[in-house]
Amino acid sequence: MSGYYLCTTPRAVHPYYIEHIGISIESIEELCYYLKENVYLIDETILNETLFSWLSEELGLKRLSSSLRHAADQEVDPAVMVNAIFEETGYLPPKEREYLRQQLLTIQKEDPQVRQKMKGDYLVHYGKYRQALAQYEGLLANRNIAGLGVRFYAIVLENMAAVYAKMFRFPEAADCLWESYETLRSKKVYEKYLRLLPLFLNESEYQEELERIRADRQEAERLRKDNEAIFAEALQSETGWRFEGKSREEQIEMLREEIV
Amino acid sequence: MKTRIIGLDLDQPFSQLTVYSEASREPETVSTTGEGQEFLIPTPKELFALVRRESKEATGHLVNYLRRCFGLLKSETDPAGITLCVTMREMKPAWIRTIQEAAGRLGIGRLSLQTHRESFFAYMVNQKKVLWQHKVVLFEYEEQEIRAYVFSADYQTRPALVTVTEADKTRMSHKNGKNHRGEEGRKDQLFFELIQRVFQKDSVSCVYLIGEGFEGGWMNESLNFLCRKRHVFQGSNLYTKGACYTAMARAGISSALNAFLYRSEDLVETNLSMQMSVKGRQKNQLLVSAGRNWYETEGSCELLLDDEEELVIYSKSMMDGTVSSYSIALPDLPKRPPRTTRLELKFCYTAANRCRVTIRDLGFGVFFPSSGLRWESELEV
Repeated sequence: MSGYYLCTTPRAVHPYYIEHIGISIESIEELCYYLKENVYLIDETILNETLFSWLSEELGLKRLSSSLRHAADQEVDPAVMVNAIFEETGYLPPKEREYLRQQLLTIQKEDPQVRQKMKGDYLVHYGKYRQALAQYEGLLANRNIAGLGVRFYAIVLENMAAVYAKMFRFPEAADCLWESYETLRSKKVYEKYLRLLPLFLNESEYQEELERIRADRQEAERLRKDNEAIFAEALQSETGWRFEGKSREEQIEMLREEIV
Repeated sequence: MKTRIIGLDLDQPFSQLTVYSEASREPETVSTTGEGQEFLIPTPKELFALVRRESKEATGHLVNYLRRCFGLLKSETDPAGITLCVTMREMKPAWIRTIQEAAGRLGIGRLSLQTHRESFFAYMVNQKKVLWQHKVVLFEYEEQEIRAYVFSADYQTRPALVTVTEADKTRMSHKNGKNHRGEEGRKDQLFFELIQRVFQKDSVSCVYLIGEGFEGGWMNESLNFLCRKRHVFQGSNLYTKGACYTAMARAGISSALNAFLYRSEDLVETNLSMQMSVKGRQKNQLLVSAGRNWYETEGSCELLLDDEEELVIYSKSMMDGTVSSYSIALPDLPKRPPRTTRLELKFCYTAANRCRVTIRDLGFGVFFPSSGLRWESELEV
């Protein structure tokens, strides 16, 4: 559908802060967009009294606020509440609204652990690494191998490794990758593991580990050189001058502090 | 504090102030001498010059003058409770700006502006219908010249369309400016000839004679003719009362103007709209309504672009229904997913047939920050 959508509700003077992902919403349309793009994050952390009050007091949507509050009191399915928001605004055309509704219904039928993993993935997207790790760790502490299979948890471990790596916590990332590899024996994961090792092990530790896992030395060396090339390119960036004269460990520590 | 409904005829060398009286339920012109009959309020000599020169001091001078005028009212007034209509011979852009700024500084609740011709219209439709069931002619004697304005209403439309047109004029002073013997007779003859030209064969139910030049008893033949089967009035506060009638309408205490549309030269005659989704329904959304003078016409909205890279605006003439469309490009606007670009549109007029549209990219919150881009386009509507 193309054209123009009239914003019938003014933007809020005081934005609504979605605490667990740390973003502020200024309008009903931004709320709609957020809900549409983050279906796995739709739960009581967003559909709550704080939101209902904000809709009423900041946006003047008293009728919507009241009906959502009533729905929440009746413990109505979140899909119904989300649909009410979209109906009020007309933000999505009917087909897209129906698609979203179906998506939400499908999600409600999914295994809770699948939803929890997706929630973790969305939190990673918003840079909420600690919250994401909490979701993943919760899954690993209560594995349902019979229901979801080993592959699911291998992927969770791989995702955790990625999060640790983003936080420059390479030893933890490596541990996750190895456990994932031992679970599923994925070549892709193995390669990631080899790439990670030189970033936090000294030369003798690195050689020792390669020996332990009986790594193909040529392959390991190829990956290490590739890593170096990537790192060098990163340092050529606009802000790369900050790292000049620093050792690799110091560079990594600087990056980790920035992330933290 | 009292609320007030005020009409101000701003002119030089004198202005006049009229205020709505709750006792009589009619506008009453304010005297400078309390209960007396001195209705002319001297206008500061430098005010018009300052506005003409677009001096930065003009607004301040006008603010002070307005305060003095309001000070003539019997009780203190909260500016926020004032509905003010200012009328002038012409509404030039410099005056429009100055009056609006002055009203803003004073905190005046409601302001409207109109020319003397529009005040004439507002005055007339608030009189008994017998006076304007046919044409009405106003003769204004100002600076050695008599101008004739004709009020006529077309009842075939709803609301009825009213025009006040300058029909003719005549120079009254002798070529070398000196009084001559028989001057009164000459003036009477000139005026009589003007009346004949203006009236032609039309039915005129009422005549107004405005201006000090009509005093002195010189218009014998003219007056005899005018008074034949029609009402004739002579006075000086028609415009200020007309302005007060407009203020009364704007304040919601009079509906006399509702059945009429005054077709002034400043009237915005086209509606502006866009095809939009409004709460899930496609409709032709009105953004700017016709029917007001251009200096009082504005509009604004915020919209989201849905896979569009330009704006298409429609204008529709309220006179003949002609529809036109205008495309406004938005160069360099960042590409974003559908319905994640919020634009602010503001419409303001620079003339009756020229609308300036200002568009601002507001982005979409934290998801897609604003580019800070701004576009401007003038539509000849």
